[in-house]
Amino acid sequence: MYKISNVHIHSIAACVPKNTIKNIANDNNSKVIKSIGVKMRHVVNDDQSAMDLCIAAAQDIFDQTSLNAEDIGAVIFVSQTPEYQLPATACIIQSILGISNDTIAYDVNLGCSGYTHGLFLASGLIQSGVENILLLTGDTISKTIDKNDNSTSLLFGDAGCATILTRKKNSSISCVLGVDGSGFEAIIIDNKYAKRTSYKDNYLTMNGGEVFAFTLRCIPKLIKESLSFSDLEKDDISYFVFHQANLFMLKTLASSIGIDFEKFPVSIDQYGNTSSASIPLTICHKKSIIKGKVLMAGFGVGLSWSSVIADLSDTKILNIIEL
Amino acid sequence: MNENQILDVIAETLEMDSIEITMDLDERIWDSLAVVVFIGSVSNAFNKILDPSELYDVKNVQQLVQLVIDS
Repeated sequence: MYKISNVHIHSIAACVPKNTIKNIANDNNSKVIKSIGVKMRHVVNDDQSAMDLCIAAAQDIFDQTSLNAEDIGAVIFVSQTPEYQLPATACIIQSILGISNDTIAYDVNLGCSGYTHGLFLASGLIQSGVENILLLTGDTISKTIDKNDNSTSLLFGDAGCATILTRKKNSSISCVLGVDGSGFEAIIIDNKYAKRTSYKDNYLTMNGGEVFAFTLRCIPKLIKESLSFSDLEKDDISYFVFHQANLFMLKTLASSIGIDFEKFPVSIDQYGNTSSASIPLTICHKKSIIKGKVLMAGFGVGLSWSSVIADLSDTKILNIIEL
Repeated sequence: MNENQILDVIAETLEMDSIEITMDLDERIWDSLAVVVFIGSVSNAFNKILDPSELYDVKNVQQLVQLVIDS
C-alpha cells in the first residue's frame, strides 16, 4: 500500500475505432450476451493498432490543454498488443509525438490491471523528479480472439487512452497492488518465441470460472484495504470505476462489497471489455458525472489487481474521439 | 442455508421455474456460462466462493447441492 504525494491526474482522453460491431442475440449466444452486458463494441481495422489509438488520444490532450509534447518527461505504454515484439512501442510513440530525446520511455505488459498499475508507476516517476508523465493504456484484443469462442468473441472491444500525471503540491494518490501468478493460465495467449514443446495457437483463452472466483476472493478485500489505508468510508467515494470485465461480474462485485450499483459507472454496454483502456474509457464515457474522489480498480490477467484513489475534481476529462 | 435455498439458486442460474434434486446436468445446460453465473449467485446468496474446477465436473443437481454444502 502506497500513498504518493504531490501527484495530480491532469487530464484523461480516450480514442476508439470508428468501426463497430453489434452483438446480435441468437439461440446460441443470447444468455452470454445478457450476462456480459455488451450491446456493441468498437473494433480496429487490420491497419489500426493500439499504438494508433493511444497516439490519437495523447494528441487530443495536447490540442485541448495547456500541456504539449515538449512538456512530457516520460512515456509509459501499457498494453498486451504492442506494435512489435521489439522494440518497445513507447519508443516509437516518443518519436511520432515529437517528445524530447531526454524522455524516459518503456512498455508495461499488463491488461485488466494495467491502468491502475500504470498510475502507480507514473506517480513513482514524479516522485523521482519527472514533472509530467504521459501514461498510455490501450489494447486491440479483438485481433487475438477466436471468432468461434463465445466466451471471448462477444466480449472484447478495442480502445486507447492517454492520461497525463503532473507534479502538484497538496495532491496525492493512494495505491494498493497485488498479484497471484499461480493463476497465470486463467487468461493467456501463447507465445511462439518462448520455450514450448508445442505451440498451440495465437488466440486468447479465458477460464471464466477461475477469473470470476479470483475476482470475488480478491476485489472486495482490495476495496476494503484501499478505503482503510486512505482512512475513507465508502460514502466518501463519489464513484467506483472498475475495470469493465463483464456486467454480471460488476453487479456481483457491487453486491458483495455492499455498494449501490448506481455508484459504478458502466461503459461495457457500448464498448465491451477494453482491457487496459477500460477504466479511463469509462471515465471519459461518464465525464458528465465523474467528480470528486474516485476509487479505480483493475483486476484480471496475471492474475493481478490494483486500486487507486484519486481526486478527479480538477482533472480535464475529454470527450471520447473516434479514429 | 438449506437444500431448498440451494435448489432455488440453481433454478435461478439455469433460468428454470423449479428444479428437482434428481435432475442430471448435461453440457447443454451446465456450461461454462452456467458455472460463472452460479459462482456469482452462490456468493451473493450464501457468501461462499466455490472452486470452479470442481463445478466444471458436476454431473447432477445432487452433486451441486453437496458442493455448496461442503464448501
